[in-house]
Amino acid sequence: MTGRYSLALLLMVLAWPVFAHHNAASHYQLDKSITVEGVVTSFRMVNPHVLVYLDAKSPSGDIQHWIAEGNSVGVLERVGWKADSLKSGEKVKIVGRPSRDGSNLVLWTTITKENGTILYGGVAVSAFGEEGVSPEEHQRLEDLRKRQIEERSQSGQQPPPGSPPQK
Amino acid sequence: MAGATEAQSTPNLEGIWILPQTAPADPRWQIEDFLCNGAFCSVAAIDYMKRLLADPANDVRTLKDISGQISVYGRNYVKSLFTAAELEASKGFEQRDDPVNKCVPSGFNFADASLPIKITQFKDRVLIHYEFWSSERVVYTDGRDHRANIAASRLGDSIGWYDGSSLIVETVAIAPHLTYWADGARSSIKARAYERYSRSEDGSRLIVEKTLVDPVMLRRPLTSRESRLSAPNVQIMQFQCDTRYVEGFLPKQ
Repeated sequence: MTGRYSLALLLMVLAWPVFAHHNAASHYQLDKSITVEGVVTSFRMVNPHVLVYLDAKSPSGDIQHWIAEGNSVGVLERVGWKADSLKSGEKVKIVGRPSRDGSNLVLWTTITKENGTILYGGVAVSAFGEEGVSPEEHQRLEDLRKRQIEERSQSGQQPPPGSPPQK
Repeated sequence: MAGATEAQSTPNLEGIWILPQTAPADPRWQIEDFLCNGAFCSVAAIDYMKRLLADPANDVRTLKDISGQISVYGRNYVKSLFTAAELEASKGFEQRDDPVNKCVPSGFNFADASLPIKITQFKDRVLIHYEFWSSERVVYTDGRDHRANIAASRLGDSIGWYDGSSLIVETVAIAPHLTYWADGARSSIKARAYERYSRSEDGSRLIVEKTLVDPVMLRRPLTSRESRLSAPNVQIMQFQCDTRYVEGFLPKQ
């Protein structure tokens, strides 16, 4: 049983997706998104990065082996991941960043199980705006920003001279 | 026996210190901690971020949008510091060339990553334990000079001294390594580093500024800054690189 994969080259902006052993930007195309649907063949809760192996069906119908790379064990265990968070044979949809060299590697941001459960934590939480941040986390960050704006407004603080231009 | 409590003039930097990745829900984090904080956040990018966040014109923008602007600025800033030698050295780099893929620990510039560190101070030295790669670094603070003719190593040869409320660390003999500042960027054998460790005013944070000086690869020193929270209840985990990770990478298709 295999899944499928599709490229969704969406322009996305990221902050500081620092991985446990490298700067993700040096290995993955962080401005692009890829979706891979397939069947888990192995889940390895290992350092330096947790790995998910899956088989996916290409548009031409042949089966391709993929590896989805996540964060380190130390990061993922602390946000609730366990060695059995994924099992061989499970159908999953993985969203993430494609490799720079074109190989079948993906830096995962979310993993959606067949029952709809979404696993987060593949990318550093500092990568705000990522789909790898849970809705709760996203809301918390928005609240932090709102509070910051309110505090500045109440203090009557003026914008600093030479503020950087908007994009 | 910890020395910080014995010598009153010595700032107490002891403890376990974390970045947001370890405890993202900790209410002490500020928005800046999620936007630009850590080994790849230059002081220049942090200053840029602060100016963006302080400008009301940006209040209506999404954080995703703002963070993207910071990220682009940070990458461009770092690249502006690269020498021709650095640009040449990083050419043709591929992910699978990264020694980490063979369980070779990342080099000095990324010794701590986003994982917890533990600092213990003694009269004559400071121990910095990194959860990342479960490595330990000794910083001698007894007034000695660097060891003569010492071979370059992953974490180099470090000596330190106290400057008011800060610990200053000078490190030489750093083995050339991928700095990860950009795709394929690396340090040279001429690199040395200066770090400043100090607590925030309220004592809840450890501020680490690291300046890499590399006359071969950098036109000017490159300084990063990270702000870590005190987290005495966090357990330092054992980090073991698993060879199954090494086996994992597929040939290019």
